[in-house]
Amino acid sequence: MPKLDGFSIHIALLFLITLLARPAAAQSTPDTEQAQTTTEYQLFLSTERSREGYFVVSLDQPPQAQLTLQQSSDKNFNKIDAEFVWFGDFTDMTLTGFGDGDYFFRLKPTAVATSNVVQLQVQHYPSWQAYGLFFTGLFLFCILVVTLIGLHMRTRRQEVA
Amino acid sequence: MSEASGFALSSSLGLTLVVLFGIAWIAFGWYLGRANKTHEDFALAGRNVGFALAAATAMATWVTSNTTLVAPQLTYQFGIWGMVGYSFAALGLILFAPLAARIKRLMPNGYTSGDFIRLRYGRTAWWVFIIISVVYAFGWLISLGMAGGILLEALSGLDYHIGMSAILLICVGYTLFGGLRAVIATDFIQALIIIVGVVLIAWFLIDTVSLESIHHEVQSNHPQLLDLLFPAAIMFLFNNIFFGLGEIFHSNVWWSRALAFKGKVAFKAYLLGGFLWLPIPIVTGFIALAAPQLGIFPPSADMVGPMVAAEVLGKIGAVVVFIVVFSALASSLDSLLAATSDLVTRDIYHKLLNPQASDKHLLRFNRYSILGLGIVTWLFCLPQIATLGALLNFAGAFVASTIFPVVLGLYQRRLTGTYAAAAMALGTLSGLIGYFAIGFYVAALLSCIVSAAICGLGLLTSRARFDWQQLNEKEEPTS
Repeated sequence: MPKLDGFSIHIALLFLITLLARPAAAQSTPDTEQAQTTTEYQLFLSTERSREGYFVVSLDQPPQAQLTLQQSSDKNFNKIDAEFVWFGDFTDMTLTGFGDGDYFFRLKPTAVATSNVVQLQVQHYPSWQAYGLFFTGLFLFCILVVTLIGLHMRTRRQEVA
Repeated sequence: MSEASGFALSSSLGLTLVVLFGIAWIAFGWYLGRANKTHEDFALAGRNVGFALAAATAMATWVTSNTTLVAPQLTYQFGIWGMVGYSFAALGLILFAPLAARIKRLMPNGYTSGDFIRLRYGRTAWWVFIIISVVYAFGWLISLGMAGGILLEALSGLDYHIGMSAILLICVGYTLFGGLRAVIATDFIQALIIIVGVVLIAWFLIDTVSLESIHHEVQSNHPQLLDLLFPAAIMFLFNNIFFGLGEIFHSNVWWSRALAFKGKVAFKAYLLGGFLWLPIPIVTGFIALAAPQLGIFPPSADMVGPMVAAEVLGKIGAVVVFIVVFSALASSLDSLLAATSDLVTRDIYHKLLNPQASDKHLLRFNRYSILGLGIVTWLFCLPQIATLGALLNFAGAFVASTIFPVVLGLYQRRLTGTYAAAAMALGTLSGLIGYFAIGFYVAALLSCIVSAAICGLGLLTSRARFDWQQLNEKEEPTS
């Protein structure tokens, strides 16, 4: 008949050895296991070329965890120019205020999320087109105001007379 | 923001606010509607609206989803020019002041803007005008219904369809009971709520997020928003002005008010309403510039205003935002329902289909029209077809073509119906081509340019002398 103390110690040691020999993932609870799963998101852009400097970035599914969008002018993301925290559980994010240039976007790679890289070109309208429409509008507006005030005052004078 | 859901309000609180507002406005509409005895009472509030109510309704009606949701959207997209350019829409109210006085003098018995076009230019021009008016009215109605849904979704996460249905139900309810009298009275209260609410939000925003930090963030990561030579924004500027002018100059919302105001009130009321309105888009637009600093990048640009305000002000702020925006939406939606139903009742049913209809019959038909418009709008709102800005600017191609025909029609005897109809039809066509070929920010401008050129040609070639007395149409006695 083995000694009870010795037997207990041996069993405990065997149990410990068995536990340590198993992969770390096997020791986690089911909840932790779910959180550690990496989700591969697909990113989409509302347009590949923006003329106004604003655009919408979309996810193929609602975010399962806090996500961060990274922006870079380099497709390998050697330098991160800006980061945008994804808002709530929306699948779209509208970004704005970009100057001319090529931009690359991806989700910040983490243990729980990765994504593809999308490319956007921002090319604003040429200045001649913008100024042409601006001054045409200004000219037409001046004509309208002068016509309206002139006709109104002339009619008032006629009514008084 | 509440950490659990990411929204400033819980869905149940959002829904409770909607129900409380709905009951209050509908009960108020019913109370005011008891004074309506004739169709004229219902449609034009007895033509006896005084200065305070007149100025408040002019200002409140123009504070709409455009001002509370689209002004921040355009600031988020076009930066400083989006904000300043949007405030220039006040020019619509200010320049309408002399027109309103002239309308009241020429048409003391008039009912609608459609009446004017029919009497001044004849049936062909009237048909073109009615098509433009209907497209615009539905564009605006749909955008308002959508805005209700977007607002509730942005603040409480409540499904878009619930918010959209709720605001339509409430506004149809009290307009149905109270007519223009209820619309103008609720506008007065809503104007006070809007002014106080907007000042509160701006105060808290500047107090919480400093101007320096907002400027630094925008300059570093979104520099185009501070660029005064931003090409698309420069193109948008005058387009927005002509869109605003076209909206006000042609729409029966503003004509019915000019006709409902007492004596010489119209000129002063529109002038004051315009100046009161001018700073509001600057304040609501400024809110959007704080979004990047707060880390808010909205799913849709038209949600940026409420999301920023709710983030900065917390739960109490979200309730204030809800009340202000809901009031703004309601003040426009009810006006548009009332004015469009007048147009349908008076111009189409009474003048075209049933000239012998009695006053009682017209009153009943007007109410059915409000109900029908509400249902059709609800059906169009079900699919969320576009952003608010894009939807509204589509209508810009239509309404800007009416600016010169309306102005010249009120003051110049020589412009004939043929040229007016051609100006509106070809102007609209050019605006639509610009909308699809270039972008929404040129639609109204192109439409107005072509329309003005045709009107100019009409004045040069015509020898006609219109008799102003023809505009003072007397009503046939009906029992």
